[in-house]
Amino acid sequence: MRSAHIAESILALVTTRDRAASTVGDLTEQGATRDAVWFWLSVFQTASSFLWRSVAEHPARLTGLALLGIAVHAGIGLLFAGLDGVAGFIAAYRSGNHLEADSLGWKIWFAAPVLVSSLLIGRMLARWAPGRELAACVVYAVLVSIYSLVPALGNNGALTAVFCVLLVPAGAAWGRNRRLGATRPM
Amino acid sequence: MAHSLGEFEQVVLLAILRLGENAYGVTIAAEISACTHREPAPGALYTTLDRLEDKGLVVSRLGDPTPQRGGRAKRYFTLNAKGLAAITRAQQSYRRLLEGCELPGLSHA
Repeated sequence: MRSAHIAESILALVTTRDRAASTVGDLTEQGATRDAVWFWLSVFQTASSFLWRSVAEHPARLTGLALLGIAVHAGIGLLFAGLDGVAGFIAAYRSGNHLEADSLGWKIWFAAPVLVSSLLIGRMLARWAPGRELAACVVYAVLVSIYSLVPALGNNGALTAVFCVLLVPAGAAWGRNRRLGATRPM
Repeated sequence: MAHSLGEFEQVVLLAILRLGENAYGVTIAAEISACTHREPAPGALYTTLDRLEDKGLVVSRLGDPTPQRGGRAKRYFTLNAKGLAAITRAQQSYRRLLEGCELPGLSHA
């Protein structure tokens, strides 16, 4: 059943793959006499319980990892800020002191640090917190959202938070798949 | 170190003990429902089983995949000596608390 595969993928983000499979098997068996709403509610309730358990049992470790992620994010931001300065100088020199900072190319360039650092941090969290990738991503997303929404810090605000919430889990899934691919028996 | 058990952990351990070799998610939920008239939430049940295994009170093994479960194996749970000792201690505590109490409709040794 297609939906069972999707449910298994969701649960595999918060527990081991074999536990996710046996749990979905149980829910499929029980779901034979119930409707699809019960099945999906059970899947999401189980996933949120596993997620909460990971966060509640390792709050210090996950917060530490999230802060390390924010440090990496800030480091990449500084690197790009330096490159911005160099690139801006060259562009201004070539165009005769006329810099089109509103052009699409510049907008992509300015968004690049957030895109790159989000994917990279997702991968790092997957490596640092194996089996608890999603919990690490949630703690990171909460902290970075607080950090990004404070105007005094001069961030892009909500845009940065949205990018991080969407891209960090994508990076974590990428890192997890690479790790599982590397350990899978031939 | 002796583990203190929560109420739901005790319920789950007792259900596993009652079911013997046939204790997996579905039968454990059904046994709890039949004995307590409360249907356990799947999230609570699976995280409790996970926690009991992490505490070293139960062990699990995978059965064979079955077609009615979409080819997914059952995970069977069994109490080990540590789990049995923990549930015995917890129930002895309850029994001591009950001594001298008169509860309507409940008789005890």
